[in-house]
Amino acid sequence: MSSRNLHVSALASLTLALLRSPGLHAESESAKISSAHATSPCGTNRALGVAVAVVPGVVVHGLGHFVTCEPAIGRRLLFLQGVGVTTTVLSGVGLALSGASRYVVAPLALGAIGGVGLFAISYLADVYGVLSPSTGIGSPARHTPALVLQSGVRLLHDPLFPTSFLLSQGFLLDAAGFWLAPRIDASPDGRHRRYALAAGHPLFGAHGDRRLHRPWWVDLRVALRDFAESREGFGMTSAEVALVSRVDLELLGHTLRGSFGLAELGYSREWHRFDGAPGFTWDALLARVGFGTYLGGAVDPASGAVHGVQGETFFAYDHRRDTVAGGMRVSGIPAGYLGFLEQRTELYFGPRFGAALELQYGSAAVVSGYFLMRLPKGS
Amino acid sequence: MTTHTPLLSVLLLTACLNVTEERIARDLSVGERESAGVRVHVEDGRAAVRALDENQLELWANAPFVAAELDLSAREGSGPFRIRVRNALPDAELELADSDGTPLSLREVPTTFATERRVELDPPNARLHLALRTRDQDARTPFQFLAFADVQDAMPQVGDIFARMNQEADARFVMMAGDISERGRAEELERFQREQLALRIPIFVTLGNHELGTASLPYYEYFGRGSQSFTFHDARFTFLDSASATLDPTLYDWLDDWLDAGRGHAHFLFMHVPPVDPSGIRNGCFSSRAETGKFLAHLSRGELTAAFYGHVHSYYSFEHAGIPAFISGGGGAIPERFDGIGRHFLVVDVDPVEKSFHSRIVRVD
Repeated sequence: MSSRNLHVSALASLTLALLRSPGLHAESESAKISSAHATSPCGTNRALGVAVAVVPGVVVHGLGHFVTCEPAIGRRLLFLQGVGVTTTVLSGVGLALSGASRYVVAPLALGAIGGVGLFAISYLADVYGVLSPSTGIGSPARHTPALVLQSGVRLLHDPLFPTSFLLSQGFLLDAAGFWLAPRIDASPDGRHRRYALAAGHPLFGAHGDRRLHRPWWVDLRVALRDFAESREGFGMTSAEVALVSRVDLELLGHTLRGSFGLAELGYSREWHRFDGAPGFTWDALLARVGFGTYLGGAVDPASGAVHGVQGETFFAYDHRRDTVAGGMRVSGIPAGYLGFLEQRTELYFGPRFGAALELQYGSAAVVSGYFLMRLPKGS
Repeated sequence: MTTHTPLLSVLLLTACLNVTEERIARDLSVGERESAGVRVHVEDGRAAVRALDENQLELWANAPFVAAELDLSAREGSGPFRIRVRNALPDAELELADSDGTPLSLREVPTTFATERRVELDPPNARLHLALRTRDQDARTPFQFLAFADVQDAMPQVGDIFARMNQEADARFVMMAGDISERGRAEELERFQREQLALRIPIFVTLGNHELGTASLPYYEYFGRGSQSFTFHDARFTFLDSASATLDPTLYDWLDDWLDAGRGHAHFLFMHVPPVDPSGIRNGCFSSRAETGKFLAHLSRGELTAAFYGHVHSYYSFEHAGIPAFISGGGGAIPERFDGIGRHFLVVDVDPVEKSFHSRIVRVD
C-alpha cells in the first residue's frame, strides 16, 4: 500500500471509529437502525447497500442508493462523481500541458482540488445515505450562539520542530450580521506563537439562526494571521480573503439528511521575515473541501427541546501550508503540492458546554482537544 | 477495537511524517563496497561504486575531487587490476599511493571520452589510497561552471543542450539540480549517462522528485549521494536532497556543518525542489511554510552566496532572505508556458577571492 493510501485509510478508520463512538445516539435511535432501517424501502437488505456503496461504490458512486431503491439520489451522486472526475481530469491535463504555468495555475489547481473534493463527497454521501437512519444521524443546533469560547491544548509532532504542544485560546462572536474570531496558539515557552483575527459576513444563503434551517450559505471571510518561531529566527504575517460555504446535502435527497459539504476558496498575501536578513512577500491559494455530518441533537416534538449530545463531525482537505499542520510530506513524484487533512468532531453535552477533538495531518501530526462553551443570543 | 482505532491511526500517521529517512541511509552507503576480497571506501561518498571485483574497480565521480581507500589485502586472485573513473574533469589526474604515501606506477589505458580515466596496475596486496584531482583544485583563481535541471522525458533531445554547453569553453563542470529522468528507472539513468558522453565536462547531480518514481531508487547506484558538499577553487558547492519537498531532519545538521565550513568563502547551494516558488499559488516548493522559514533562516545565518534550484520548468531570478536564488528548470521537460523561456542553462562565473559570482542564461532553443 502506498504511503498516501495508508494515510487516507488510517484517517477513514479514525472517522468511522468516531462515528461509532457510544453516546452519540439515543438507544432508541440505534434500535431504529437495526430494525426498521435494516431493509430499504423496496425490501433490499440495507447491509448489502452499504457493502455495495463501500466497495464497488468507490468506482461508481451512488451504487448504494441504486441497490436500496433510491435511484434518483444515486443518479445525482453519480452525476456529482462525473463532474468531479471530469473537472479533475481536465484540470490535470491543463496543468500538464501548461507546465503549471503561473498564468493559469490558479483556476486549474482549484479545478483539481474541487474535482477531487466532489469525488470524495459523492462517495462519502453514498455510504452515509445507505448507512444512516431516515432522520440522519444528527441535527444542527437549534440556534446560532452569540459567543463560542474555545480553549484547549494541541499536541503536535513535526520531525523538524521541537515544539510538542501549544496552548490554544479563541472565541467566535456572532453579532449584527458579522462574526469575529480571534485566536492565539502558543507554546508555553512562547517561542512558537500564532495569532489570528478572522472576521466574516454572510454573503448568500441564510443569516443568523435561519442558516440552521436553510440548506446552504456563503460567507466572506477576511483574516490577519501572524506566526513567529523565535527559536529559529523567522516569522510570517499574512492577510487573506476567502469565500467559505456549507451546503446541506439533503438538497440531493432525503437519505442525506444530516450531512453537509464544506468548501472554501481564497487568496492570501504573505510577508516573511527573518532575524538579521531581509524578508520577502509571497502569496498562497486557499482552498478547502470537506464532508461532514451533524451528530445527535434529537428534538422532542412536543417540547422542542434537544435531547442528549449534539454536535458535528467533518473530514476535510485544506490546501493551505501555513498552519501548524503544514502541507503533507509525501514520498514519490507528487511531493510538495498537497495541503493537509483534517478531522474535527465537536459535541455539546447540554445547552452550554461541549468539547472538540481535532486531528490534522500534514507536515506535522496535530491532535487538539478543546473545551467549548457557548452562550445563546440575548443571554 | 473501536477504542484503539483512533490511537492506532494517529501512530500510523506519525510514522509517515518522515518520508526521507531511507534516503539518508542510502546516502551514507554510497561509496562503500566489498567484493572478492577487495574493499573500497570513497571518502564522503563522492563517487558511486559502479563495479568491483578482484580485477577491477569502476567509479562514477560526483565531485571534482575524489579520494578513496582501496583495500586489496584480501584480494582473491592476482594479476593486473584496472581502475576506471567516469564523470571526471578532463584535466583530472588519477593517482594511487600505498599506505606510506609512496606513489604507485600506473599504466594509462586509452579512452575515447574526455571525462573518463582508466589505469591499470600490478597492485600489492595492501591498502592503497586513490585520488582523482586536478592540479588547480585548490587554486583561488576565477572559474566557471554551468547549471541546469529537469530533463525528465526530454532525454532524446538532451544532446542539443550538451552540444551548446560544449561551446562554453571555460566551463569546468555542470551542476544539475535533479530530475534527470521521468521515473527514475535504471534504464533512464543509464541512457542519461550514455548521452552525457557527448559532453566534454562532467555533470555533478542531486536527485529530484522524478528520481523517486522507482521504489528501489537506482539513482544512488548510478550517480551517488543526493546530499554532499565539496570545494573547488576555494569555493564550496553543496547539494541537498529536497526531492520530497522537504529536508530530512538529519540534513539540517549536515547543512549547518557545511555552512560553517563555507563561511568566508563563496558557497553555492543546489537542490531540486526550491523552498520558495515565486508563484506561491502554484506552490512548487516546500510543503510547509514553517519549514521554508526555518530553511532560509539557516541559509541566511550561514552566509550562503547563492542558491540554484530546479523543479519549476522555467527560469526565475529572485532573492529569499537576502540570498540570491535561481530556478533553472530548462532541461527539456514540459516547459512552463506563456513565459517565453524554453530550454536553457546557466553560465556562472565565480571569483573565489571576491566571493562573488555572475550568472547569465543561455537559451538552447
